[in-house]
Amino acid sequence: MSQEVSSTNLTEEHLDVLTEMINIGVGRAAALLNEMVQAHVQLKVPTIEVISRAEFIANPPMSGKIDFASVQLPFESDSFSGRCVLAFPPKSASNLVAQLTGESDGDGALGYLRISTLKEVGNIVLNSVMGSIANVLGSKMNYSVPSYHDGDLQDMLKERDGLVAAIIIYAETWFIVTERKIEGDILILVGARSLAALSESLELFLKKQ
Amino acid sequence: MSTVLIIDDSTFQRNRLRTTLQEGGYQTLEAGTAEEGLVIIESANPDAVLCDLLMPGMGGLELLRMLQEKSSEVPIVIVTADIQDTVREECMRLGAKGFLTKPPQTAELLAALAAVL
Repeated sequence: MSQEVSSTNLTEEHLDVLTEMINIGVGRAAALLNEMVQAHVQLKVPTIEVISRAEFIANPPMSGKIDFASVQLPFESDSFSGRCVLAFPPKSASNLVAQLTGESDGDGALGYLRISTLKEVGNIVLNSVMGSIANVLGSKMNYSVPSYHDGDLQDMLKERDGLVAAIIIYAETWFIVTERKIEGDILILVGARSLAALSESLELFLKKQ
Repeated sequence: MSTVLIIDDSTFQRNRLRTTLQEGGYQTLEAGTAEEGLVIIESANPDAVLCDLLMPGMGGLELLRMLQEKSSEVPIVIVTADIQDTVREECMRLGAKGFLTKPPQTAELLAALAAVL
């Protein structure tokens, strides 16, 4: 039996598998973004952590970042549900929008087009991540329409669609588009029961290997 | 010249698809919802439809089901961010003639349309 990690019930072995799935999803998303911006996009996920909500708010791993432009994709499988979030600092979001639309988005000037663009990027990246997990675990994921939010960390994590995020699976992600570094973070927000169900699915997957 | 209806709630994605299709020699129609798309399919009789899956209101799967019930012959090519194998299979079972993941490459998009027209 593998070692328990922190206060969650995901083991080191589970985390290793989950990291690999997220890396596959992010790698696929990089290829898709590459196609969208017609430029080389490097996507890198340096670390993945599983953190309780309280711990996350007390010591946010997103150091120096206060406000976020986030896209949130609610998901539900047979056994677990939650929200997957792609969060950018506002400046990075503007850089990404400018890169994709060819128009300047200083101070969010593009308005609706900015939101539509970021939602679609979020949709593609988050579907790649969650779809990779679903394909590997052999489960079917149902999604709700993604939503866009501007706000701080508390706002990003607040209850939406009846989900209070007890646990956060946090992947710090860097999008490097040509010379521009666009920082972003991927968060998978789940409840305690869903984390236990995810843990069971991962354990089942490992037993089949 | 063939007419292709684009159904997608994302303005950004519709803009991209419209540009690609028009450069590829197609006329385009657009709908921001599946409900609106259904009305256009029945009134304007497009030659093919590119349809997203996850949209506010009726989704692409429901649209496929409705068109199947109506015995519609308009070919539908799904263009979605959803990469799940199970979703692809469900779309094809419901009568989709193609399944592309976003963002589709120009060559694969035009090939998918050429295959159904």
